[in-house]
Amino acid sequence: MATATTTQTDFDLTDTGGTWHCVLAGRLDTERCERITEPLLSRLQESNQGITFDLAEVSFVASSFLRLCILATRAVGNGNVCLVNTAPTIKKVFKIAGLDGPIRID
Amino acid sequence: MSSNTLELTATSRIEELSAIAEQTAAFLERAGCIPNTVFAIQFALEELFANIVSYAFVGDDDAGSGTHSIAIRLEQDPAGFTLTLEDDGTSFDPLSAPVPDTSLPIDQRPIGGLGLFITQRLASSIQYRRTNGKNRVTVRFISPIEEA
Repeated sequence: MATATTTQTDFDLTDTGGTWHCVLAGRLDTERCERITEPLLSRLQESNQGITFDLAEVSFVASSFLRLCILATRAVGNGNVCLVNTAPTIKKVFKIAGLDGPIRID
Repeated sequence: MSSNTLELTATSRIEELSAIAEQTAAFLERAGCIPNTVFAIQFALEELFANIVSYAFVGDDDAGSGTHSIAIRLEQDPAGFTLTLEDDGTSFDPLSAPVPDTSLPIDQRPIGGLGLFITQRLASSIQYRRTNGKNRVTVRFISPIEEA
């Protein structure tokens, strides 16, 4: 059950009671990831909650998004960052980077 | 410029990438490029362009002002696509970049280096050449064409 929702220009963040649910859409390119990394990491560090990124509407990720996921995992611990509704092409880059273990990907 | 070639010139600013990506996507759609190859080409273009913007003009007073230009060429042939980026920045061979150890625990990993590493894994081949004071990176993608 959603308990709080934060809507910003680049992402929707909902507290589902212990875990953040973050809906992203479109292209997660270098410029955009640089813009969202700091505010997202601040929320994670303040709350010490895990996060699930919903990528159903995401068509592209740059390596900056992998960097964001690495920093998020460092902040909240292995297994506490998840990707859901992930396109096969995006799964492939996480696998090449060896991140399909510490980050759960569905 | 023929119909099987896309040529773009952009200033050395990261903000240029969204327009480049749009034009590239439209070209690849017209070319009947399959989705996996579209993603691979877009990824390579994004990472190589961002790398040039971040590192090629370090120490240059004009860096970030957009006075340097980056030439992009994407060409289709019967076997696939060839992407070429050319800039007049500091000599840098992306093939010489350290290979990240992807088996390390996440808290011991260097943050950088993944973009070029993944680009090399997604491409069929990559070549680098320094000629007349310019860096030229050529990335080859062997790819079938989607049936209409």
